[in-house]
Amino acid sequence: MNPVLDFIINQIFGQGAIFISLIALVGLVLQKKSVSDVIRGTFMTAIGYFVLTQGSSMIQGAVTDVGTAFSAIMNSPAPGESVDIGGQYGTQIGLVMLIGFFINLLVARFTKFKTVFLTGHMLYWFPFVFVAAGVDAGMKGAGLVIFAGIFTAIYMIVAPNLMYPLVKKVTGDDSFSLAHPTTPLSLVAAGVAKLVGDPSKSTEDIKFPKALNFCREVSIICSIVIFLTYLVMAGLLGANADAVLFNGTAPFVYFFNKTMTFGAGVTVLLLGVRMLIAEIVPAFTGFSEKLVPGAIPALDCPTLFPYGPNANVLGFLCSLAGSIVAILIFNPMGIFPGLVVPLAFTCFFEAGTAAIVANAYGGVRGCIIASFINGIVMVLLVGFGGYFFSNTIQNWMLVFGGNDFDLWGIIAGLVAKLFG
Amino acid sequence: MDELLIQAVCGFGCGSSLLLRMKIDKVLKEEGITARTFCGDVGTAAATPCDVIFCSEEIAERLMSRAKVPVITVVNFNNPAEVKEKVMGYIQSLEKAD
Repeated sequence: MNPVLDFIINQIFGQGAIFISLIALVGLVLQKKSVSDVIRGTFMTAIGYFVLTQGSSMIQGAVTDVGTAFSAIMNSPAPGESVDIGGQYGTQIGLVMLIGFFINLLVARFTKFKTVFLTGHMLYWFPFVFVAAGVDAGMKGAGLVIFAGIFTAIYMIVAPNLMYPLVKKVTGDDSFSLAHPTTPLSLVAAGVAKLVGDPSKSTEDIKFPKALNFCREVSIICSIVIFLTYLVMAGLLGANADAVLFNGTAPFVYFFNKTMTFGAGVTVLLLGVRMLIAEIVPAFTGFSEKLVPGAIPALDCPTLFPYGPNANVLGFLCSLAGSIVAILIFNPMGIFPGLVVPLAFTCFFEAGTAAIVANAYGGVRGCIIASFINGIVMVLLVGFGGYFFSNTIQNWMLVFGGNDFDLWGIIAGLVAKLFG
Repeated sequence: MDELLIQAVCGFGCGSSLLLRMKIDKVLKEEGITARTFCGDVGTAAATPCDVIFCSEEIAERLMSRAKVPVITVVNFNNPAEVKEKVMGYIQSLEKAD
């Protein structure tokens, strides 16, 4: 290859941070921002990329030993080294994001499906998941980008259109939809709640104790879950715990360090995602406003939270209960390739949103039963997702999966394994 | 006066706060006001320097006691009229104080 071209393609575009900050740069210039805003935004995007990578490796470091301990208990081979998708495939993720979004715009412009996918971090995370599904199945190069691009586009169009009637039912308003991996859980919630519930008895008529508000501190609950998971693993390992986990560290100090590193990793990861998308999403939004008249914005799930704050907390608690029961049943059966831990984030955001939908279709009863079932559904999704992501992002899935990331990741993984 | 720093806050600081931030940016642009806007998550927002925080009621309940700056609640992030009313209300309160 021509050395100049080789330098541009493999060195410049091979570096994800450069490609993604170039997207931000172009977006800022197109929005006619001032020179200082353009410089600041471009730099912050590049820095955000590295912050994100650090956050991922902190989470990885905090949960890897859970996998090792589980393998020791089950006498199965320890999980191998996984590929760092966010760090090594940044350019591919950036390209996939552009392809997916522009196909979404074209479809919204020229067909009756008017939704435009605008949830910032999801614009990054779906390309991330589909690239991982392709890499895990052995794809690479242009094929990988086209494969992940098509899946991202289909997802960005299908999910908000499935959510649209549910959002309308909850809000009585047809001005927006959701762009969020809660979609399968919300559909389950609507179906179950309609069958078993009574919409006239709303969760919002219950007086909820204020003390339950701590449930909304989801990062803390998630850290507690990790703490308890290590505790259970150490208990199961018994005399082996020191050799497999502690290596001479006092057990409490070990648990404490792992738990807090995990919390710090989540905080850093979210900061990185925030910096990475802060300039790109407004540019995408500006584009869609110009190109698609009558677009229906598909937004992040907390836009529904004001329509059912009680349902949200109730859904969180019931789905957490459901997922703990499912974990206690399925993990020892050995049907999953790795360990599944309770999914606190998914219970709060995905199942919490689904619970608000359930309340609209079936009141308190609908909300409780549907959320419990959703807890089981998410464990099955993240468990079987392990067959498709064990070489790549399964540790990330253990924190954020159990929703469309796994459902669509499994579909994409099957397609990649069949045709790849 | 230094550049006004406006923080939009949600649970993750990635999704709905970014939506709110864009709506606030739009109002500021229409009114010709210069200010810097950015997003934060509920865990770190109170520790991040800024002049004012915009968020949902549910987030406000958890921030009120810790935040050292005014916390302004927006019920519907997707309603431009409400965002405009809240932003301009805050800007006018600043002008009165001067």
